[in-house]
Amino acid sequence: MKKIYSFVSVAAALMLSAGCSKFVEGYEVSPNSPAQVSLEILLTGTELQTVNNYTGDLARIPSLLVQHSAGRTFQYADFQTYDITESSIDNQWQNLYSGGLINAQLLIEQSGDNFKIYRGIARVLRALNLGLATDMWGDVPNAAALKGFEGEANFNPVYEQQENILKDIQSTLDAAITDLSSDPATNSRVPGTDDLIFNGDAGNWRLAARVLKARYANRLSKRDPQGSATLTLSILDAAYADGLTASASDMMAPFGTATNEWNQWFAFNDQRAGYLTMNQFFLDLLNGDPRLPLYASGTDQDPLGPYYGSQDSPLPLVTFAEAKFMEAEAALRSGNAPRAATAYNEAVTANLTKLGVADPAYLLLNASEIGLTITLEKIMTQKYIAMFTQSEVWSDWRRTNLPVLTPNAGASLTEIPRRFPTAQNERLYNNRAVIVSDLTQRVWWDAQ
Amino acid sequence: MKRLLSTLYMVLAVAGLAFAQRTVVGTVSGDDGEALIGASVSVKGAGVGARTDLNGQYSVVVPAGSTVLVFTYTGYTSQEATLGASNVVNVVLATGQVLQEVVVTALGITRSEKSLGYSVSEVKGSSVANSGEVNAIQGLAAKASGIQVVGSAGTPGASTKILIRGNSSFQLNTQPLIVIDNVPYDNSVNTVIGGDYPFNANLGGVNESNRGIDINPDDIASISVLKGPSASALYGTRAANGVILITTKKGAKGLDASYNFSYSTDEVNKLPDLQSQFGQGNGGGAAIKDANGVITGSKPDGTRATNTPNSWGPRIADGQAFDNFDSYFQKGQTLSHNFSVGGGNENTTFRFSYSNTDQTGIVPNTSLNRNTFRVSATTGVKKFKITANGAYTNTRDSKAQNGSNLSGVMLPLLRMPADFNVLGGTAANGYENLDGSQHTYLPNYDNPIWTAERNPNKSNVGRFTGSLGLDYLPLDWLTLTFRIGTDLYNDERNQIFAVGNNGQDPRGEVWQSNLKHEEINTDFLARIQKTFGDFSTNILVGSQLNHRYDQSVFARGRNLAVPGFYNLSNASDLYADNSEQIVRLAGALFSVDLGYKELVYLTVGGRNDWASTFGPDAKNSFFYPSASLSVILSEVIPANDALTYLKVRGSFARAGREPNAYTSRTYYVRPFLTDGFTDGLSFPYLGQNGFTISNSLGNSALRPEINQSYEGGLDARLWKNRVRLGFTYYVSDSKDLLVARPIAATSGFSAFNSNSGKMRNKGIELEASVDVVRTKSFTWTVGGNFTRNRNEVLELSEGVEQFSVEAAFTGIGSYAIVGQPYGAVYGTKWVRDPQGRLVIGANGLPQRAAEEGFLGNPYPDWTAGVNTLFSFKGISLSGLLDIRQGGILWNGTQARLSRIGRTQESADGRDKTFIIEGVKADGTPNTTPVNSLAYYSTFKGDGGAYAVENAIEDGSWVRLREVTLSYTLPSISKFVKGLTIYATGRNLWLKTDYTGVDPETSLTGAGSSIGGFDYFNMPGARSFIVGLRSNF
Repeated sequence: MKKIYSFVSVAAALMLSAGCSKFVEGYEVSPNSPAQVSLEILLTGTELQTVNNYTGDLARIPSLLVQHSAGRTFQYADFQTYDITESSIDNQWQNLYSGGLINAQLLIEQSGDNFKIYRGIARVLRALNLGLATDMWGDVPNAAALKGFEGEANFNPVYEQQENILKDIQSTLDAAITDLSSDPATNSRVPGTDDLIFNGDAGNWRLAARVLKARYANRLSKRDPQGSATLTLSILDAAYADGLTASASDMMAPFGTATNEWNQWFAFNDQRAGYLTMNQFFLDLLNGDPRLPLYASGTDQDPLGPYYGSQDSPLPLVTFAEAKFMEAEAALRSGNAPRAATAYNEAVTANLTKLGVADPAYLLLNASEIGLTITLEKIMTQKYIAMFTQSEVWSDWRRTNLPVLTPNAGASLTEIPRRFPTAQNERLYNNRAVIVSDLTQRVWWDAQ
Repeated sequence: MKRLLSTLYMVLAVAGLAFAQRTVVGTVSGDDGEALIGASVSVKGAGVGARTDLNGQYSVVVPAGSTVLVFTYTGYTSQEATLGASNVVNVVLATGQVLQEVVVTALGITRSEKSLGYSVSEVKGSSVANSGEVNAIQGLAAKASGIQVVGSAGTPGASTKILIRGNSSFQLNTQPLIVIDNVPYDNSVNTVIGGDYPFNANLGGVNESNRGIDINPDDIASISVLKGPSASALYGTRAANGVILITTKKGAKGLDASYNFSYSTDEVNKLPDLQSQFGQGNGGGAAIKDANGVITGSKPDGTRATNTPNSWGPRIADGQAFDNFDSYFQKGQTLSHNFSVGGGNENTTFRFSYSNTDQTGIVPNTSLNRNTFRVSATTGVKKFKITANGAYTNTRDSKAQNGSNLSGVMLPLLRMPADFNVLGGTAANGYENLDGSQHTYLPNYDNPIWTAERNPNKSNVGRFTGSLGLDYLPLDWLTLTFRIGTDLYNDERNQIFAVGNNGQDPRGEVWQSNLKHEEINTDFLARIQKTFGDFSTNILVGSQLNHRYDQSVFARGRNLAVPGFYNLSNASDLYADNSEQIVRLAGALFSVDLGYKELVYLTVGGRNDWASTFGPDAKNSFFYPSASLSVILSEVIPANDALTYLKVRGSFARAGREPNAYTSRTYYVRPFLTDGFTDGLSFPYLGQNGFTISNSLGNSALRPEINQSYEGGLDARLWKNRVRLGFTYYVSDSKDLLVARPIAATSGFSAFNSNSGKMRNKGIELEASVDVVRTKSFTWTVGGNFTRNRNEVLELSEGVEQFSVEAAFTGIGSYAIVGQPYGAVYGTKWVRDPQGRLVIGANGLPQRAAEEGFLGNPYPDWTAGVNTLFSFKGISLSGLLDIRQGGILWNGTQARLSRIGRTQESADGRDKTFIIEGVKADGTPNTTPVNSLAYYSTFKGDGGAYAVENAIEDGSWVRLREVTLSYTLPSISKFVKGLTIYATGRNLWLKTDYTGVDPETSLTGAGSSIGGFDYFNMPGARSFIVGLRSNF
């Protein structure tokens, strides 16, 4: 009898246990999110991540630092006094790594050899995001980064010297150019409308990759003036040979009229009205310039103008004009003033033509240089004007100190910041982070 | 009816039975003057007895030779009465725990108080209902030890958070499980926002309700608060934060009807002190002055600036300042009606109730309307007992925008310059202009009346809860119970942002969302109760299955073509998303109680839970034990008058919790991208959809979060129960805490779902009550409770000393920091020298430290409630004092108002210069003066290189939470059996140093882990209530 009882109770317990386990099985996986997505959908996502990184705070704060614009209220008034804190750039830092870079890497891995054009685009996107990170933060994690998938041991990526990161950007772009040169027929699938930026045009991506290579070669102008000039020119020659002839192939960030598609300068001025206005310094520089009514909407109390500040105005990321300005700068540095003058004239003309204000009188005055008259100041000043809204201007200013800027009155620093502070996220959670809070500390390429 | 019955008894008694037998009649009432229904009257030693009827009256036939009647009633001290010559015996029972008290414990099992090895607090339903709070959870404030109740605002439908013995988890739900009549009752705070909203929706939006608001307080008979894991272990994983066990009123023998009514008028109880001397403009300390030194304005021509949020402008001429608070806040009112009918016979009881609560808020266009229906019935047939409960609630409310919100109420109202009239628009309504635009002082902000009227947020909840229970008693020592219960609700929400609003798309938005919650719970229990000589045993085995399904569908239309027409068809940008979640839990449990005489009780229990949320690399089941011991020392101490009763108790328990749903894997998500300043970019984008990897790294090996607690204490009754004391000390350790642990974004992810960290809560709880005076006609009792909980984060993950527990603002957050209490406020600080003095820069201002740090603990050092009751014949007066000591608040409101020159302080100091106390870099005292603009905007405010440290304030308070005067009329007619009229004041008096609104406030509400944030929070309210309770 006793045996029967214990037998029955053990059996009951086992049945209960099996039943309980069964009752809860099969509900672990989320019905709300996919565990895998197609390359198309990931490409679109990664491109938008990159657009967001290039056209948000990481464009606005540099524009304020180079005095294209001026911060007027709240956080932007703080930025105006160079009060940029570890938490005020935290979101932006995270958007680079856990946004643009991780997804570009996933896209590179998932596209593989059968989808070379996807992989090539992904590599360009990787270079764009990594370039932004190192330009603004100097030494940053790279090879050891983005390995969270592989376990906790990889949660504290080591910082790498900027010199190596710039080399990696070059080799990434080389690999991208190779991928983007592949015969579409050998690709299992090629991008189309899922490519928000170039609608699947691999040739345009290739040209952008080449101009980006030039951008990061020219970045070494202080470290290696001659070598960087030679390399920049040879990269640009290859780009011209590959078909870079006009602004038609410019890489532009696309926007739309729906609220979630708004140009981020427009959205900022809509949602943060009064925070950021044009800077009087820039307005003075634009005096008599046909771009003034496009760039500015009024006085230094008003936000930027319609050309880059309308709901759906596209924003430049990589342009033909930039290539020509770089050619001018590199040629001048390597002693070829006539080439510099020609490239400069083409750059200014390209920019004004693109904006639809190729005023002959203005061009006669400002884009008719010859070898004897061209100067670095002219090149960098016109580049400063042409590259409005692009964070590249901050890097150019740090490289050349042109145009000459006076630090803002009442600022907490006596110098214009030359980098961002280490993000709070890194200080708190990466125990290998190299913490820098001094905004005047120079990044490696910004040699004294 | 009753009279008839007692007459009948009399007749029977006289006619049929022996001479010496007699019938005794009388009334049993509580010390609050209320008749006690269903109190037991037994004849000592005779084995016969009766129960009181709905009027508290009884009639009992006393056999010859018996001379003592024993009166008992749950929650009251038993009393014996020796019969004299009179056949009428009226007794007044004193509140308090009685020796034979039974307590409702886990799974609805009633156990004798003696046998419990852990503390359980009991709160009477009437004390919740009498508070006049619409939200029953809020009605618990200061009424039991070990709990902290934090309302988020005095506006209709605002949530109330309740913490039992502090936060025991980092990121899992911290709210206790609510169980009504043995069925879990969802108390979630549901925030619905588009999946493309990139920020923490708790920081803005409206004060969403906790769904406990659907409970009709008048239906509650009693509440047991099960505090530690020992008490709640049998409920499994969901009870890790304790359990609030609600028993509703049931019918009793006879027939009874009641009607209760109350009317409450509410008003704002506290607002920041704002200035009315200086108008809109810039300038401040460097203000332009005329020849006489009078500040004239910010512009050289003396005209008023209109495009600035600041009130650093010119002095306002006499009579030109506006009292916008007065124009804005209104008297709220709440009307409440409750009807009930109940009755039954020997075998069957039933009760039906209906209530309506209609509240209009202190903020224009806010309201809550609740209708509840509840039916309960029990019937016994031979060895079966069937119990059925059903309730339907419809709660509709309209809320206003809160917090960090350009369409908010408090944000534009408090920032509004005093020379701007909130009702000064050219349209007839005052808040609009003749051209149809809103009348606002700054184009970024909505007019606060306009936003309340034009941007309403409406919610309509239909909720059904029901249960069916079957008890089968095949043997006199065995009870088998099967119960099935369900909780279903739908919440339809509608949010409008009118064309021209500033908070969202200015072209107008309409949001339509629907939330659905379905829960099914089944219990199967077998209970064996047997006594062997001096030993008693009580064995429980059972299983519990729980299925929860939640769904939300959100649709939003933007850019409305026809203003004033709010339908999705009117929008040219449409967005929709949906999500659903299923969580299943299964549990198998046992509990063995052993009692020796009435001296020692030992309970050993355990529960194994299976949960659906574990990943493939983890076990989906986990077991946890509990044990408790109680020793009734008074049984071995010689009987004496001083120490009537003394129990010593101790317990140990472990509790496990499963991971949140869908945290075991890494998914791809449709991203919303923003740097924090704009609403950003999201999909579908230019006709394309896009996904990217989630920032949250999944973990297929997540283990259960474990909480282990020890508790010890004693309960004592002194001087014939006139003094009742309970004391508890506990230590509760949580480990393997389940947390979306922030990791460096350079890993590719910003959070990792992990078992990280350890945390300890320890504390003491004290409950006491004293019958100061106890006579037949007059009683005076004083009671109190005291709670002190110390929380400390012991460990996070390796190499991590702090992390953010929930996204908040730039420069200020809610953190877990090793060595500090969980939820510590963390933010920017001033540079200080080693002696702690401020280091003042060349500009005369302190300097902000490069790194943020710990700023304070938002949870109180201790809290206490003190209650008292005077009762004289039918009149009673009661009061409840609520004390909170310590706990900081971040007064972000004050900092911003200081910066923009709206505080009274900033006006008083406007013409002055200040030398801030501190030292220069070289260590010598600071001598550099700053003007008032720099002083108030940076040193006191949030402008320039400020530190949020300057806005940390003490949140202590002493408040008269409730005071009630009631009068119970003597029997007035045959029809009306009982009538009580009362007047209650709530929050009539508040003493606090906090400079903002009522410090009982929460920006993020009960659905959030953030505590201690005040950023343009809605104010609290004080109320005056009158009401009546009647029985028929």
